[in-house]
This record gives sequence, structure tokens and C-alpha cells, in this order.
Amino acid sequence: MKDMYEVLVIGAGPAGSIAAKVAAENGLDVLLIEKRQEIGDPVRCAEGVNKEYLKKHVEIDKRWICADLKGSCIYSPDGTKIEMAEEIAGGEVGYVLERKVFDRALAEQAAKAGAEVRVKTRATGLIIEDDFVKGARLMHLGKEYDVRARIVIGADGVESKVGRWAGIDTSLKPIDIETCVQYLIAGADINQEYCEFYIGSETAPGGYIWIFPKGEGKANVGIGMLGSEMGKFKPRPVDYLNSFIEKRFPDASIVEMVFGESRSQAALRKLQLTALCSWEMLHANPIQSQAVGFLML
Amino acid sequence: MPLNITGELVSININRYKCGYCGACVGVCPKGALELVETWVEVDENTCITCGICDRICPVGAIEVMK
Repeated sequence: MKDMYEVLVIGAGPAGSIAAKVAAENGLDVLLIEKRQEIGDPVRCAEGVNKEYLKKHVEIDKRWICADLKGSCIYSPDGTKIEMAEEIAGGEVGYVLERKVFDRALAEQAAKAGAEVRVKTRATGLIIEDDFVKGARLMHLGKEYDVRARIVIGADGVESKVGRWAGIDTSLKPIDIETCVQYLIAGADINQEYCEFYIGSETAPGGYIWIFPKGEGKANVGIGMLGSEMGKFKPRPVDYLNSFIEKRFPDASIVEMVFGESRSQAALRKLQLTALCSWEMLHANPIQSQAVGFLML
Repeated sequence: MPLNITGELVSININRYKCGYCGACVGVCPKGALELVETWVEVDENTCITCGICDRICPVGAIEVMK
């Protein structure tokens, strides 16, 4: 690790890796850091993306695609099914990714383009001089480093600190956040060509339950619930999800648990004005938003 | 009153055996008192105002706050 770069990217999710890659391809000296020891793990996402947006920004590689969706079905509280075919569904169908492979492939592309990539490296603060961000203080294996950069890109997710350090209040109100729990289930009979959404205040207050196929009897089954619907003594997303799974997939095994959150639509509208970028922050509601599209802005 | 891992009384406790380190609590904390470090959440008890928003938002109920 050097003490000076032209661009420092904090966070190696899809947003950070693509930013690092583009900067490196354009001849800039780039450092991309990730606080976790493994890029892409643990996953905090339902892994569905819109095909068209994805194709615009990355070359599709079959290694990180688990399912190719043909459409989606939305179930109302009384069980009424609305089926949407691919052409009219727009943003809600596409690919279901293997984020562990996808995220790592994007970071590798950044490295291949010439960016230096460092994992288990966390930013602990910004270097601010004369009211300008001049770099960041990094922590790697318990040792601190001052790294200067002409441009610092905060791609540090929903728990973003970079924005706060620079004086932007990135804290979210409960109404601005959907908190999510998801299980990867195996050994279940799942239609691999359709994703499903279940809505209703008894199913998922202020949100919905989703089923995204992940190939060979597997699926991501998760719930997102609006923060303002939650309370200390109310059932939590994990409780709603458990009762759904008991009814719908009584014999399936849970082979992975995923926890995450995304910004609600209200917050997304505000967010487009800021320069912070993040997949988790922007990868919101697949019914309404176009995740990768926002991400690449 | 919540107890931490060593049994001391604290104003906020994050049960690390329940926590799925999603970062929702960090995102909603109005004071920036929480931080997601790799796969655990750290609390700056001097900054925390025990407002309880993190407790409310946690998808699995891993946070206990004494108001």
C-alpha cells in the first residue's frame, strides 16, 4: 500500500469495484479497499437484477448467474395471482446472481484494469484539510495508515461512514429503510423460471416476501419490512419469514441465512442527488426500481 | 437492564450470537454511535443516546437498549 493515490475507493461491492475499474481503465492510480476479508461474503442481498441494466455495464458471465427468469408472479393477500411476462414486467425479472462470485469477479476486473485491491482494510476516518477531503485513515491488520488521494469515493454501503465523516448526514429514518431477512433454501420444489412476490400487511407489513429461484431446487426466500412498521414488542421480519416458510416450504432445508436492508422508495428519490454510491443502498425494491441502473449513475 | 457478554450492566447490548451483521442499526443510528467492523457491530457508548431506534429496526431482535 502506497501513501498516495489518485483515487481511493472505500468498499468493494459492485459500485466500488466498477468505480475502481473505470478509473483504472482511464489511466488513474487507484486503491480499492474492502473491510471484510472476503469480497462478496457475507451476502446481504436477494441477488435479483435487471438484465438490460446489467448488460449495459458488465459483460455477462454464466459463472455468476444462477437463474434466468422468464417472468414474475405477485400474490395478493387473498391469494389472487398476477402474472407478469418478461416483456411487460420490466425491472422485476432478470437474472438471479451468485453475489459471492459476481462481486469477486468485479473486484478482479478492477485489479486487472490496474487498481490495487486490499481486503481486510477498513477506513477509520477521513483526512480533511482546508475543508477538502484529502484522503483517509485506513486500518489493516491492526495497523493504521494515512493514505492520501485526490478523489475519495465512498461506496461503503447502508452503514456508510464516509458520508458522515464528510459532513453529509446519511443516517436513515425507520420509514426510509426496509430491513430484510432471507434464507437460501434447498430441497424444495421451486419453479426456476419465475420469481414470486407476496404482499399484504399480515404477510409483510410495509414490504413483501420474495422467492427468487437459485437453480436445482434452491431459492432465496426473504422478507423486507418497512422500518416504521417495526417495534420492540412487534413481530420482527425473521418471525414473519419463519411462519411463511413453515407453511410454504415445510420440508425445505435452510442452507444459508442472509441479513440486509435497502432504502425505501422515499429515500431513493432523495439519494440520487448525492455522490456516494453503493449497491446495497441503491439496490432497493425489485418491484419498482432498477438496481444496477441507479448504481451506475 | 441489558447485560453485556461479561455480565456487566450496559445501556446497549448487541447479542453477537443473534446478530447477522446486516448494518441496519448502523444505518439508522442518528448519532453514528454504531459501527459495523467486518462481521460484528461495535458501540461507542459515549456517543449513544439510548434512543432505541436500532433495537426497533433490527430484523432479528439482537439489540437491547435500556431507555
